[in-house]
Amino acid sequence: MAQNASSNASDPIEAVAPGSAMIGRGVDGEQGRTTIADGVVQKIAGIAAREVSGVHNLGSGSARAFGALRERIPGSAGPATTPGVSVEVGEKQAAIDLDIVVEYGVAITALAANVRRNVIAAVERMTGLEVIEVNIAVDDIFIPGDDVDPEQPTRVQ
Amino acid sequence: MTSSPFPDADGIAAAVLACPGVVGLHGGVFGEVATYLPSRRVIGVQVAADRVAVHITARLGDPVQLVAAGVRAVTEPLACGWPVDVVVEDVDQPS
Repeated sequence: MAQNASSNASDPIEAVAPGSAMIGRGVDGEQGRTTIADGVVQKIAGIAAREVSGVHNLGSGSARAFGALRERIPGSAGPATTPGVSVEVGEKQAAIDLDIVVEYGVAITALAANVRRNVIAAVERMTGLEVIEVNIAVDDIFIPGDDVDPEQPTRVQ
Repeated sequence: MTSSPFPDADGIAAAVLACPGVVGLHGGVFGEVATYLPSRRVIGVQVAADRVAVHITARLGDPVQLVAAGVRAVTEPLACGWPVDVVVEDVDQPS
């Protein structure tokens, strides 16, 4: 009787319905486990956010500067993560935080809502994870002509 | 958060442009009235945050209230039950 009660209480197998179509991170199927790394969710979310018209770039100024710095460190294989995107991935759910730079002349709240929708659709369709929230921080606004660094002539030949 | 019904901005834009008395869609002073989609925007139709906004240029000489009512009538069936805001930004001669 005691054995019966304990097996009902917290059997991890019971959390996943047998034959469930859910392919989540670390969810055990009958014939194996499918694991989706954080970086996968990060990349998908980053691409889905960046492709929306009106988004100039991802990442806050400091994050981009840090990424550029890290790329120069010998032995480092470039930025390890997608700048401006941080994710928390659970067994079946994911939460996503985005830092974006918007273009001048967009309606920022509307753009954020459209970015959120695109990111949720992309992550849910490609990974099968349920996206519980997408937090968007608008860190900067891009003004055309602002970004092109004037060619600094080198002082030494 | 699986895909809930979401109004189709392109469909709304096409329906509004077919309305009598509508010269065109209007992007607002800064061109900010738009639905932001991957790689493109639908200017003049803003589908975001559970609200649909349609900004138009009406034909000069037509009764503006009637034109706006016509725009609302074609937009509401496509709006998935979301509130519809119709804004007449300008009046102009049809080109």
